[in-house]
Amino acid sequence: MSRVTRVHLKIGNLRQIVPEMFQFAFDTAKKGTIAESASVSMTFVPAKAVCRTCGREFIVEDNFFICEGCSGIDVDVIEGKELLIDTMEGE
Amino acid sequence: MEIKVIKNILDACEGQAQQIRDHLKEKHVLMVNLIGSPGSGKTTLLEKTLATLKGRFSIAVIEGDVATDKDAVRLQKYDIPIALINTDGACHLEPITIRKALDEFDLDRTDIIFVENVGNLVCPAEFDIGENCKIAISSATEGHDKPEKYPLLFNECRLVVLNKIDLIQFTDFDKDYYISSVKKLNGRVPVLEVSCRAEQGLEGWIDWLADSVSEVKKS
Repeated sequence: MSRVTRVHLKIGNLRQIVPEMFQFAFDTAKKGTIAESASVSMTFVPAKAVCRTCGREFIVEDNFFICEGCSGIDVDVIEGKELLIDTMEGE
Repeated sequence: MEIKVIKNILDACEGQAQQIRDHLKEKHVLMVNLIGSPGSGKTTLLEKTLATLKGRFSIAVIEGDVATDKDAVRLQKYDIPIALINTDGACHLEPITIRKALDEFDLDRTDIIFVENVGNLVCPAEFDIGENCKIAISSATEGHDKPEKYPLLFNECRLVVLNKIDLIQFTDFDKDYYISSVKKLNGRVPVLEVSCRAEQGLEGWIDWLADSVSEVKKS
């Protein structure tokens, strides 16, 4: 690949990433590189937790980390902290 | 042509943090990362802790500040190893600077390292510096809405120290609201209510530290 045309990122909702700022940083950093003309796109991954008490997996909404099944508080976050380069396109 | 990359952008940073964590584990050193707003009482908590625990444990401190050595100077009288990191504008500490600071300590003779992070509730919560755990310090005078407004820190931390409880009577701070907000974000986390200035509730903090040191020594 000699030229990158698109970069796709996966970003967990729990990461404090502001898309507009990320876009700006990307556009600044890419100058003079093989990604100079690349666009960036982002998919945001919802926060997901698993309850250690009842085993239920649930999507965390509004930062409410309590099991929606048994109201258990012993929960582990299993998704939502990603900060990944998922795919790249180029020629 | 599309290629699947799946590369963690923070790989390099997290790799460094893991190396620090492994090294400290080998040396049986507890490292806690103190995170809180400017003025929440991080340095005062350290002063009271050093006054109580010096002699019982061998303690070192990494002081992170954007500028000046003011906090480090405040702790000098306790005659412990202190590494000062001036970030010159950066809003949080990162593993690469922590690693350099650790070189200044004799880890074979250290039980606890306190890292006083840059006063900020946002970025320090994002960055793993190889600590055993993050501790959130917030004070009643900052208001009871802080857990909701800065959820990542309260979700990530293993202990919440609520400071300045002696001042609650002069504010509109709603303690029940504060604690229930913390519990929604992190049901397992203990909330210790203290006043560093008035030396209230610090026994719980000292016990928590002593228990954490014994856990690290056993591991």
